Amino acid sequence: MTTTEPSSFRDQSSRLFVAESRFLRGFDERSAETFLAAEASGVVAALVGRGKLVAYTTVDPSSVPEIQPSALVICPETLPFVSTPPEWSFSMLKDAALLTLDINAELLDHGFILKDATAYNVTFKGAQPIFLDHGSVERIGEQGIWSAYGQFVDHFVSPLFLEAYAGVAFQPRLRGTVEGIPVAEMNALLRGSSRRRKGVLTHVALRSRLERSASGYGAERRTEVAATQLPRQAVKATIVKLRKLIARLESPVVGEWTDYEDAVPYADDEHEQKRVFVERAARSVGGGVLIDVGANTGSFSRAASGLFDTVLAMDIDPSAVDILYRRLASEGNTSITPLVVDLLNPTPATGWRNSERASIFDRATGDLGLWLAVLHHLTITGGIPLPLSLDLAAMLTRYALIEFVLPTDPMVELIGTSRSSEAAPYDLATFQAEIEKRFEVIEELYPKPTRLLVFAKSLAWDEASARA
Amino acid sequence: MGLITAYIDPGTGATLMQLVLAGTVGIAAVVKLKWHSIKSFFKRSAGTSDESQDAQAEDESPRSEAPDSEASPIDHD
Repeated sequence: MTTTEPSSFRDQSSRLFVAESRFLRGFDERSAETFLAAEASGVVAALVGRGKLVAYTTVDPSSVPEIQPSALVICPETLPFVSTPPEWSFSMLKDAALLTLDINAELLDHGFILKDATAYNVTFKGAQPIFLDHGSVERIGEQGIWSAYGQFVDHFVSPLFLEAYAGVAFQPRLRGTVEGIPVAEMNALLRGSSRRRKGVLTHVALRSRLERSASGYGAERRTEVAATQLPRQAVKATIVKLRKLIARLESPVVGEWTDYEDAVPYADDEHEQKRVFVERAARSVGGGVLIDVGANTGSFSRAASGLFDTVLAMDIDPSAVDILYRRLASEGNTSITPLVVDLLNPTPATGWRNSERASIFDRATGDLGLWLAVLHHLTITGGIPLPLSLDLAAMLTRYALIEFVLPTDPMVELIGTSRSSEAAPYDLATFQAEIEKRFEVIEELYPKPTRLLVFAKSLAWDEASARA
Repeated sequence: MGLITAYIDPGTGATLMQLVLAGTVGIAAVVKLKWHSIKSFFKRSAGTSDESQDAQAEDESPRSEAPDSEASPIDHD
C-alpha cells in the first residue's frame, strides 16, 4: 500500500510517499528538470558522497504508477530513525544549521539554491547531521534571492539565540511549533543586554521592524519587492556571514545531570558487574535498534553500540545530551544518536491535524530498551505509577533491561521516599508483580543489595506483532 | 498581537532584510538595477538607520532624498 507521507503536502511539486517499507519521491516536470540539472552539475553526488544528503536511487516511474507527480521518481535511503528539532541539543541544532548553510553555499556555486529551510529538512545519522529533502533544490540565475532566509532564521537562528543569549533552552518551545520561533515573538523575548549580542540587531530587531512595516505595503509594492534580485555573489556573502555568526554561538545552559557520572552510586566492581550484565543482554538481543531511555552522558549506550546498528541515547537533560553529542560528533560516529527526550512530556505530534510531524513514540521503536536508574525518577519525582512506566517499557522495545533502585538506596532517599504516594507505590514487591504481568523474565542480577537488574522479553510486543 | 501578525507578509520583510544583509555590494547592484523601488523603500524606512551597525546598506541610501521629517510607517520601541 502506498500512502502520502503526511509532512510532504506543502510542496506539491515533489511529494514524498511511503510505499511498503520504502520511501518514494515523485517530482513534477519542472522540479524534475531542476533536480536532474543539479545531478548533472555534480553537486548532488558530491553532497551524497560526503554524507550531507541522504543517498537515493532512481526508480522507473512506470513500475510505480501510483506515484504522482512522476516526471522523476527517486527512492531515498530509509533511515532507522528520524529525529526532529525538539529532540536536539544546542550543538545538534547548530550543526544542522551549519549543514543547511553549507549545502546552500555549495548549491549556489553550481547555480542552485535551497527553496526552503525548515529544520525538519535535517535529521541525524548517528551524530552526523544529514539533509533529507531532495525536493528543496531550486535554480538561481546570476541574480536571485534566498527566499528561505526568514524561515532559516525562525527555525535555526532564533532558537539558538534564545539559548545562547537568554539562557533559555529552546526544546520546549520547539515542541509546540512547526515553524520555529516567529520573529516578532523573538523580538519580544530578547530584552536588555541580550539585544546587544551579535546578530540580534539585524536578524531579530531590524527584521521584525521590516516585517511590520512591510505589512502596510499594498499589493503593488509587495510585488515590486518580491521581484527584487541580488547578484548571486551577494546571496552567497549573506550565507557565509550567517555561517560565521552561528559557528561562534555557545550554550551557557548547564544541566543538573552532567556531573552524574562522577557521582555514580556504584563501586568499581559493582559497576563492572552491571556493565557485563548489560553487555550480555545486548549480545543476546543482537542487532537492530537500542533505545537507552536515560542515557545521561552515554556510557552504556557506547558500551553496547557495537552490538546494534542504531542506538538512540535519550536523556531529559539537554546539556548531558550535548556533551555526548559533541564527543560522538568529533569521533565521526554514525550509529549513536543522542536525543533530548522528557518522558513526562515527550515530543508530541504537531502541525496540520496533528499528523504533519509525528510524535516520538510514533517514530521510535526498537529491539532492546535500557531503563537504567530511570523508574524511580518517573515514579517518585514524576508521579507516574510503576505499572504505567512498565507499560511504556513493554510497548517501546521487544526486550527491556530495567534497573530497579530499591527505596532503601541512598539515591532514592536523596530524591525523597516521602514523596512516594499511595497512588504511585514504589517498592520491590509492586515492581516484581508488575514486571510479571508484562514481561517474561530472562535474567536477574543484584549488582548491589539495593539495585536489581531485570532483563526481560515483552509479552505485549509479541501480542502486538501477532495482531499485525 | 495575533490579529496583527496574521496580516504580516513574512516574505516581503525577509526579502527587504536580505537587501540590508547583502551590504554594500548587494545594495550597489540593486540600486543600479532598480533605483526607483529602492528609493521609495529607503524613503519609508530611513528611520531605522541608527538601529544596526551591520546594516551598512543604510549608509548607501540616498539620505538627502529621505528627509527625517517624513512620516515613517515603522513604529519605534
